[in-house]
Amino acid sequence: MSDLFLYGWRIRTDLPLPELLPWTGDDRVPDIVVRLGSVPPRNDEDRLVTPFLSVGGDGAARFEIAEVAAFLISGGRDIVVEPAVATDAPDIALFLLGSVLGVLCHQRGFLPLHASSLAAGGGAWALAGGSGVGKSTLAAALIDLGQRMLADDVTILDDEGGGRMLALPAFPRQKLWRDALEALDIAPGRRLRSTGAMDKFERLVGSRFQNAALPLRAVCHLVSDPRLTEPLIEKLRGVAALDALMSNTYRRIAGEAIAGSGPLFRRVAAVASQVPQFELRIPHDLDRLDRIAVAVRALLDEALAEPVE
Amino acid sequence: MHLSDTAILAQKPGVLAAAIDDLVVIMSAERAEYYELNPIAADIWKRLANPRQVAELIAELVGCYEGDPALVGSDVRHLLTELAGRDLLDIR
Repeated sequence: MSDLFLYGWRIRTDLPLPELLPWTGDDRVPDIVVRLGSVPPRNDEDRLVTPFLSVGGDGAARFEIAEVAAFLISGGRDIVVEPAVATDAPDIALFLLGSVLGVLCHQRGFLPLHASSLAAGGGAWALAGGSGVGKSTLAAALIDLGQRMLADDVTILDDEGGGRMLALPAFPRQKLWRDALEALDIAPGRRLRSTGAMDKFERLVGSRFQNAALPLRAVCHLVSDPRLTEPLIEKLRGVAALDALMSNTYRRIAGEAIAGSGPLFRRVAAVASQVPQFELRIPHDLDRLDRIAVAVRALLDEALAEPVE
Repeated sequence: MHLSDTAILAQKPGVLAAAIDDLVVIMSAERAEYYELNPIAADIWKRLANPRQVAELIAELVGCYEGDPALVGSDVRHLLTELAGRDLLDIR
């Protein structure tokens, strides 16, 4: 299998990852290597960080989901996968591009946010929030209005220094609930996950993918507010900004265990101090999704145009 | 807790600080909580990067902010007591 592109990293993988674009960059040694193999059981000395994740003294992390796979992630570079099911089962890729990616990020010293990110006027906007708040749905509507997407679920930031904080491009696929796809009149792709009554499907964004990193201009922390008919935006400052970013740091607990709470705090504080943070309260109204998206764009454009005090 | 004016205070090692907007946010090593310091409190925190006697600190701030010594003294002692109470300071 040829190498693939993921957040600007060259990834060599035994495991099929159909959502990723092929690598067309330089002939560097792969930044990340995913191979199938056996993952040793947890050591007694390993620290149990969550019921699924343990970290060894050498910083290597072991992540296991019963009946899916075990993953061993070392040095921010090497991932060994021991599947419990067929290697092309969507759940394996789901966790690889989810929690395992989060761990990898923290090992590499990058900050991952639980956020969708979109291109806007030469920069990037990140829409952050917990699962189910509506980041992907709002992002899908903004994509339909013409904004390109950098990432759907995990936005990875690269602090270049000198005030330049970049949002990195992931892969051209969203995961959307069936009702969001229907509201946007989009035909669903491959089914990704069935949880009871609600299914999530792929939505490929094709040419609407932003394949180059962009400077992060704003982070909007989404809150679903059923009382509202129109979205509302409010600037977050100081501790409120820091707190929102901490809450929306992807796999924060893992990050604290792997990178250390000091380095993680510094990474988050750097974003809070360099990039405007907002709370964005959105109505939950799929029928008016396109108009909500237009309103969000106008609110954010206006909020960012204001002179910085 | 009562801090005497001869007590020598310093930032507790392991307390992290970051400037966000015009505020300074500090986080304790146990990272259970963050605290927001307004510009004057941030200034005091910065001065405590090296050990300082309480009386000395008050005198410096009276000079710097040209304030009434009694008021400045009272405000500073209050802030220091708060910081100490939250285990953010080394006290000798």
